This record gives sequence, structure tokens and C-alpha cells, in this order.
Amino acid sequence: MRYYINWRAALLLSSILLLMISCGKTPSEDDSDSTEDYTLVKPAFNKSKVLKNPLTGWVMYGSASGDPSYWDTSIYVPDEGASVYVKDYATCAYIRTGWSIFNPSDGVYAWRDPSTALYKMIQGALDRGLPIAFRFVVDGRDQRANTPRFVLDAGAEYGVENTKFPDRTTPLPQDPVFQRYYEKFIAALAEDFDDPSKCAFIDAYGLGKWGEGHTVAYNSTDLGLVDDNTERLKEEVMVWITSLYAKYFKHVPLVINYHRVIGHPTGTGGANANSDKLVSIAVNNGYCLRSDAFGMNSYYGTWEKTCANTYRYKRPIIMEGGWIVSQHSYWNDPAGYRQDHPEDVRKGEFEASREARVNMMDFRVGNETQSWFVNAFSYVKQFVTEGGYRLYPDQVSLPSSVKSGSSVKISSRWRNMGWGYCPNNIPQWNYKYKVAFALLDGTDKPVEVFVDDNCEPSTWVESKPNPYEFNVKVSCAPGNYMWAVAIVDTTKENAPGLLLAVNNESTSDGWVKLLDVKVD
Amino acid sequence: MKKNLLITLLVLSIGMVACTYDPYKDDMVLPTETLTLASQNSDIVLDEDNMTAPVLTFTWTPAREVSDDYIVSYTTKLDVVGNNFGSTTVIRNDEEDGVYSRSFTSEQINNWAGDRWNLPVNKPFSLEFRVIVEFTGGPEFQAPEVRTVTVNVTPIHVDIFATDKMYIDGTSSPGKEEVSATLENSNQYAWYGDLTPGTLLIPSEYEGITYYIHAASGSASFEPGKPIDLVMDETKQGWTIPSGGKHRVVVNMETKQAVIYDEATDLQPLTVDFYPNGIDTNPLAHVTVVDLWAYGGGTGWGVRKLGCTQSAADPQVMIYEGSFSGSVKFCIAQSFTDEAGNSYNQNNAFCYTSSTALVSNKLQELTGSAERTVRNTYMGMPSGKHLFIFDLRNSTIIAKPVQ
Repeated sequence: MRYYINWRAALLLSSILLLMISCGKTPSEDDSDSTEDYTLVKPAFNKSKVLKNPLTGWVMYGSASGDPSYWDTSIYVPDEGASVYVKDYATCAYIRTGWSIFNPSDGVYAWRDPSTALYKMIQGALDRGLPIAFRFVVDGRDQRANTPRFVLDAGAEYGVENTKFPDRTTPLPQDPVFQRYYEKFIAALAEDFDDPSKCAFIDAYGLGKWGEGHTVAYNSTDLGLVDDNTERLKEEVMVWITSLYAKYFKHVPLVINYHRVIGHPTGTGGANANSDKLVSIAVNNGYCLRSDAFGMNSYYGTWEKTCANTYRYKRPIIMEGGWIVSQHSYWNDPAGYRQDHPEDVRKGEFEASREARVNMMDFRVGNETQSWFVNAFSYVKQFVTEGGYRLYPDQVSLPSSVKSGSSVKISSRWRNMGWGYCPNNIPQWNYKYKVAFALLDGTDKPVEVFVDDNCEPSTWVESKPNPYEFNVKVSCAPGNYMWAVAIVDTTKENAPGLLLAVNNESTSDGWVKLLDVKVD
Repeated sequence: MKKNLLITLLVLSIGMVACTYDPYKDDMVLPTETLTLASQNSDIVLDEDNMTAPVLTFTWTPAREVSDDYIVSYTTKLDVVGNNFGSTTVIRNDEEDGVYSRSFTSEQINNWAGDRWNLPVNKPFSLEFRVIVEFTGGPEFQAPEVRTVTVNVTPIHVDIFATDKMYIDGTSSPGKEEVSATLENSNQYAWYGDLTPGTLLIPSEYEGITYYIHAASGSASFEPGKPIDLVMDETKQGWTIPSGGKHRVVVNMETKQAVIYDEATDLQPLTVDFYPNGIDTNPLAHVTVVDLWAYGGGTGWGVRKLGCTQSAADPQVMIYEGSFSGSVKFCIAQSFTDEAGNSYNQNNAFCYTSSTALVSNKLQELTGSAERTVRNTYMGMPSGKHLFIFDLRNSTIIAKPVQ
């Protein structure tokens, strides 16, 4: 077949194409029927305000001492030339103590008794606007009687590492009596604390030495025994305990340590072949991640870094530093921290946290918190600015006048300026946070709220722009209103749920004001 | 005609395409930077009466406009000139959008001078302040804008009374000579030598700065042998030495007092008049104590001349470094004569001892006598090497372990 070119037609077609290219624009497909001009609002990003959002920011540790004034600890900060309250920089409080403190006898729960030290500390934190987080330690080694005596008296099998301290018992987590009472305790706890307004997260493994997930004993006569049954028991216990917490805590995030020998009878050495699998069991049961060894370069190594990378932006990571600067010989760390320079440790922890993209960092009790504020306050502020998630719309296009009953197209562009991510995808949150726009009346009350299901905050990472277009039909009565934006909690009747990192004026409910609008 | 129209249309189209040529994509054209930075003052004095008020303010102007694709971030850094904004010394702030100034209070700068920058007290220093504007997230690289200014700072004056090195100087001095701390008291400095009529200065170097120790009263005159209350500051002030001769200058950094002895008031070695063997029918013997002789089981019942060092602060303070293997007494002479010319040895001499064994680091009393009971008393000694400090003026002894 021969082809003939119609040069005249080709020339005409080329010209038309070139003209179209030179115009550089395609007529937009505008679904809105508003004829009014749109205004591009550019909310100013706020870098420094401590945003008390869930699963991001600093965690203030406290003990079950019974002195709630601890939550009012203030520290003189040389960098500021002034004293500051630690709580002002924290988004939640954290108490880590023995199961026996929470549940001293069968059916008795200390957090329900106003006379107990535990109650006072929990209530003290809540009174100060700090939701509480917990870890329940069961193993008594190096510490105290962490498992309640009544559990052992009922027949739960346990061992004792040092006969000089017979109270420091180590219960076996596979024991059915232990499991029965532990479930009863968790069920009771969930009745009161499966409420995200009160509880920030549950550090929900708690087995092994110090509850850190390693050095877990499965044999009462030889607590460090590793035999043919060990791997099976590790997995069975991991399935049991993570399923148990997931069964009772439907709304509050659950957390597990990622450790190279998670669930194993040892605490050191190389990574166990099944550690990845055990962590994945927990993650599949909805768990988030934490490590208690940040800044310890002999303990937080390749396996831990790989694990953090594996779950990056799938599950948030909570950081805890490993060194106790007032007790440990941190200057032996391979990082080369200088003796008498706790700020070196703080810097090491900060940099490891940035590498892992953590959502939360720690103000542990004692000299750890002191040194963050006295020796390393710039990192405290830097984490507020750069760490966790920090969401804001950098552009919103809105009409300044609308006809009631007409449709408008709202264009918005969102960024997360933190190195972490907004964990809207964890099962306990189940994508409950959504972008919403509202029309506020003269009293700042929303008369109409438009929830955009297409915006997904958990996908916003690394400061990248995320543009969206959203068509809404305005149906409120004619009048003067204010366009406002928020990330709302869809489980709370679309009330603003996350604070945005902007300098714009906000209502007391959390709506960020954008633009005056007249509805005709 | 139609053909001409088509050709015209084609040329027009090509021309319009050509109009979209973007020189910024094809040529390296440096952007016009607009960032400027200024300090409210180039020299500041930290105000100790108003520590929390801003004392240092920097202002800057916005950097160049870029498209909305970019995130524009302003970071400021403050550090001492020479530190190069190092990670352990820099004061870094992420500035809010729309904020174009940063202030620091006297308290902040004073804290950093001591804690973070480890600057010597009272020494002026210079600070560098830098603004860095970065443009990220856009389609192509945008060079940051950076500006730096320097400010000279006069720190808060701190009254200090400490020394790394002390000297005597001035027209009365034979030259600038270092004054050493005494062996018996590291807070006490003493010098003994000739001064001529003129001015006596006592410079004190501390953390690289030279201060002068002088009378708190401001007076240049003094009463020889009497304590003088002191201050230390940068004022080049001292004392007028009215007449030449031997002088002893003793400065106590702990009590902040000095004593200047002239020849008339100078401290003298101890002179002991005693009856040999403590028998008052014997003629008197007169011994000026310039050394001590140890004797007893601790010396294997041999006589040990200690070769004591007399303190420059007081010749009656004598120091010996060594050890004893048991009890000893300390005789003021090994061989001596009485007024009648009779010869004696250490066993007949006035001696210092105690029935209480000497314990390390504990000031204990000595009994001094030529009486038989004293001469037959031997004082237990601590084991190991010690610095033995005999204060014969006050009849005390202390033994400080030597590593």
C-alpha cells in the first residue's frame, strides 16, 4: 500500500496543534456552578507552637509516686533565660510500672480508687490536659514484685532469678492462670481507658526484663532457658497477648517494642530469626512500634533500623532513649559521647530519631528530662518543629461569594512538615480524621460542614504538596459567613480533631478561619 | 492565497512557541537576592540590672519571591566568632513565616557565654548572627540566600577572686616574679625578697585575663604586718612601698586578705630557750629552729635530718615530705651546746611529740618540751608517704597523704 500525504491538511493540522501548545492551557473542567471569583488563601505555616495532637510530640514520663505536682515540674532553661513547664512541651503523659500497682488484688483496680497514688497521678495528668499512656511490667527481675501476689497464689507458674529477692518473681506468660488474670485486668482497664480523650496509647506487651520485650522467660527453673519449645512459645504468647489487647482496645493505639530478640529468653546478641515474624504478628493486630534503645549504638543497630524502615509510614514509631545519663557509662557508646556531656547523648538520640522518622520522643524522669531542657533545649524545639507530624494547608482556593444552592469547587493543597506521619491508617483510628471545610456564622459556629473523603492525611509525608479538589453544594441561608478549615474527627460528629500548624486565627473549637464569604 | 495563509499561520505558530523559551531554563542567570540583615547595634553591653529585656536585636528583609511550589524557610544562627556555627556551640532558631527579627536577652547571652561557649569571664567577645533562607520542594534548585553580621559584646562584670598564676610586679619589684602557692595551703600565696621604694603590684592571671589584687579600701598605703582586705579587678592598682629592704608578701585567696611584712615586722623563725634534758640545773641552751630531726622506732632508732622546707608565708611553718615506719619524736637539734659550752645530742634536746598517734588529714596538737616524759614519748605515724606540715607557731601538725 502506498501512502499519500495531503500536505495542505498536514500543514493546517500542525498549525492548529502548535497554536494549542503555545496557548499552554486547556479549558478547565469546572464542576462548580459558581460564577464568582475565587481567592487563593495561603495560611502561614507555624513552626514552633506545640501542637497537642495524638501520637506526635514529646511524652512526659512520670512514676506512680502519688505526687501529681510532678506534672507541674518546671526547669530553668539557659537557652531561654527563663523557666518553663515540661508539660507545656508534652502531648501526653506516660506511667510505666508493675501490674501489681494497678491491680493489687483480684478485682481491685487502683486507678478507680481516689486514695491511691496511681489514681492521683493519672488524674493529675488528665487535669493538666495530658492524656495518659501506660506500660504494665510483669517481670520482677531487677525491680520488685511486679505481678500481683494473688495471681501467683492462684497457681500461676513463676521463677525467681535471685533467691535473695524472693518477691522479684518472673511469671511464665504461657501459663493459663497467668493469662486468665491478665485478661481480666486488661478487660477492666479497657472499660476505663479505651477512650482516646483519656488515653494516648498502651505500651501493650510489657513482658520480659523491665517490660522491654526481651529476656522473656518460659521456664521457671531456668529463666534463660532456650530449648526446642522456645520459638513455639514465643509465637503463641505473641499471638495471645497482642490479640488480647486488640480485643479490648478498639480505639486507643497499641504499641510494641521492636527489638532484635523480642520475646526471647535472652536480651542481647544477634537478631533472632523469628523476630521479624513476631513484630509482624503485633503489627497485624494493629500495633504501632516503639524502641527503648535510641541513642545506644550497640543495641539499636541494623536490625532495628531495618525494622523501622519496613514500617515507615505504615505504623508510627515512638522513641525512648536507652542511656540514663546519671547512671550509665554512656561515654563507652561507639558514638563517642563525651563523659560529663549528656548533651552528646541527647544529640545522638535526636539524630537516631530523625533517621527513624519517629512520631514521639521522651522526657524520662530525673536527669533525662533535666538534660533535655538544660543541655539540649534546641533539640526539644527542633523536634517540635520537625518531628512527628505537622499538618497544614498551604493553599486553599475559595469563593468569596456564593449563591445558596449552588456548587463551589474548593481547591486545597496540604503538607505534612514533620518527618513522621499522621497515623490515620492504624486500625484504632481507622481513617477517622478527614479534611473538612465549614461555613461559620458570626458566633464562630459551623452552620454547614463539608467533609472531604478524598483527602487522606496518612499519605502526606516529607513536606510534599498534596493537592485536592472538592465540590460542595452550599445550602445554608443567605448571609455573611466565614470559610474555615479543619481536620475533623468523624467519630465525634465532625468536630475538629487535629490542630493545624498555621498562624491563622482559629475558633475555640479548632476551626481555622480562611475567608469571608457572602451567601446570596 | 490559501497557501500563503497556511505558511503565515505556520510561521506565526512557530513564533509563538519560540515565545515560551525560558532563559532561566537554558541559561544560568543568577537570581536577584533581596535578603538584607542588620543588627540594631554593633556593640552591646549586657545589662545585669535588666537581664530579661532584649539587649540584642537583629532584623532582616524578605528573601526573593519564588513560586508557590517552593517552601521558603528562614533559619537563624548565633555563635561566637571563630566557632563557625559548630553544632555544639550554635544557637539555632527556625523562624516563623512572616517574622523578620530575632532578639536575645542579656540573660540568654550571659548563660551561653558561660555554659555553651565557655568564654572567660569579663572578657569582651564577638558574636556572629546569620540568616539562611532556603527554597525547597520546587521543580528546580534555588540557591539559598545567606547574610551574616557581627556584634561586639561586653559581658556582665563578675567579681571574681581566683587565680591561675600570681605575680609581684611594679616599680618596687626586682621584676615580674611568679608568686607560688604555699605547700601547706594551696589558697595561700607567699613571696619573700627585696623590694625598693616604689609601687608594688600583684597581678593575677585568671582564665587568660590579667587582674590586679589590691586593697578593698582603695588605699595604696598599708600598715606592715597587719591584714589588708582585698579585691581583684582590672584596675591596675597596688601599694606604695615606702622604704627598701626584705619584705614578705602573703596573700590568702580564701580569706581575701593579704599581709605585707617589712623588715621590722617580719616573721622570724622560732627560737627555743630550754634546759637540756629538762633539768633546770643545766645551763640554758638557745636553738633557732630551721629544721627538725626525727628519732624513734620510725627511723630505726637512727637520727633523720628532715631537711624541712620553711614556708615563704611563715618561717615557723616547716614542711617535710616522706614516710616513717613507726613512732617518732621531732627534735629541734641533733647536736647543740648550752651557754656553758657543754655538748648534747638530739636525745637531750627540746622536741615535739604527742602521745596521740597522728592520723592522715587530721590537724593535731604537738607538745614541745625538753622534759624527760616528753622526750620519751614517741608519736605514732600514719603509714605511707605524707606531706608533714609542722606549724611551730601554733604547735600543730597535719599529715597529708602523697599519691
